[in-house]
Amino acid sequence: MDIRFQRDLVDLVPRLRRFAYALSGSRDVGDDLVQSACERALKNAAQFVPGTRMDSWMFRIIQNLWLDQRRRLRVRGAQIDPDLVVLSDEGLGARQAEDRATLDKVRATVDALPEDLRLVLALVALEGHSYREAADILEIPIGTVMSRLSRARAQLLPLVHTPDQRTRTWTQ
Amino acid sequence: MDTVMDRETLDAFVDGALDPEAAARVVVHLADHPADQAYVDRLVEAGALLAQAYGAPMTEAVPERIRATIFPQPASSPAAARRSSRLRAYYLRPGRPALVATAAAALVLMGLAIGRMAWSPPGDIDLTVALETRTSGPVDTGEGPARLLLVGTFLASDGRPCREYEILDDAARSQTRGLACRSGSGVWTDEVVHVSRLAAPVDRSDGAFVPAEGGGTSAILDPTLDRLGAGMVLTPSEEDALIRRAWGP
Repeated sequence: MDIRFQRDLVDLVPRLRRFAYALSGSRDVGDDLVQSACERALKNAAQFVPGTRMDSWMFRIIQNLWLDQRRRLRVRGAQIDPDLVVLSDEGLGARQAEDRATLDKVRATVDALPEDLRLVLALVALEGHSYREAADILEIPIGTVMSRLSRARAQLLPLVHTPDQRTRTWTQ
Repeated sequence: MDTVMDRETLDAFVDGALDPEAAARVVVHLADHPADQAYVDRLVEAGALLAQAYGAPMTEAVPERIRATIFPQPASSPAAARRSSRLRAYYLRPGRPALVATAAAALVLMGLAIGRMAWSPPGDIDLTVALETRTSGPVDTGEGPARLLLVGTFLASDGRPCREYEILDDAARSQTRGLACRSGSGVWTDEVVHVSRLAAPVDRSDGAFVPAEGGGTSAILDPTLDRLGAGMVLTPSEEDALIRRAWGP
């Protein structure tokens, strides 16, 4: 390990925290995950192949840690407020994207997703990984990535205001 | 007939997973199919919502506990720790490299004269003494406007110990990053120094920083690290032992 390994790792931390936040539904639990993942990465730095993508490697470590933790606990770490979970079209109102309530509902919806859907959503829609990269990280077929992503998005779309409403707003 | 494109293809289009020809076909299709265009728009919106919902970490400094995990350092005095918190947080500020990259007055000095530092550190910082005697971490530099952080120590392929440092000068709004190596005769020489003017003053509050656009920190010093054949970063105890032996074997 040379100093670049550590500096590259530090550069990645904001993205790792975002991913772990989406995965765990909690800032604190997410940061615990990132910290544990960094410890594991430094311990296993020799396994990292320079020139390959460190972000994919770290995301895989985080998801493994998270799944290990979940298997041990057998319960969700974060408590979900059932009032915030909106899976109907109730969110089809003309809320603005920056509306705090909308963002709360987005988080609650993501939180309520099954683990496997949430992982794919976070890797592709949030972190911008390709289907192939997500499939490699999760060690599942590409087709599974696509179908999980589609199902996850189906839960999110009711929270998005419609383009028609948006167009009307613009043209008023 | 108004055929609707399958959702999987539209998803892949939004995710950039289609080859150029297939993507072009979708673009043509969307022009004539408002329902599919609306679906694509909503997917994009959903992505934007996700980014907003979980975006907070992207504009925050790296938490100290995570930073300490990545860069283990010996404990410093409470006063030094207080002084250092701003500098440390600044050093790890997301987007900080953008300041470097966009600084119009950036200056890089390479291959400096052997035997001395070819530039004067700002303020009351005695860089040579710090490099020689201090372990990595923030260095107490008194009450002046400039602050020094020793980032880490490694051995070059020729066996010389080298250290990365950073100096922030609030008064001059400058940031200096460098790599210095110690010769066998005990002289620290800069291998590379990068001075840039900061676009904005250093935030005085602990940890709360104005976000900037991101980028990698590695590019500035990497060529020099490659040239030096930088080895593993020394642990705090290895570094401390070397300093105690006055960098001797």
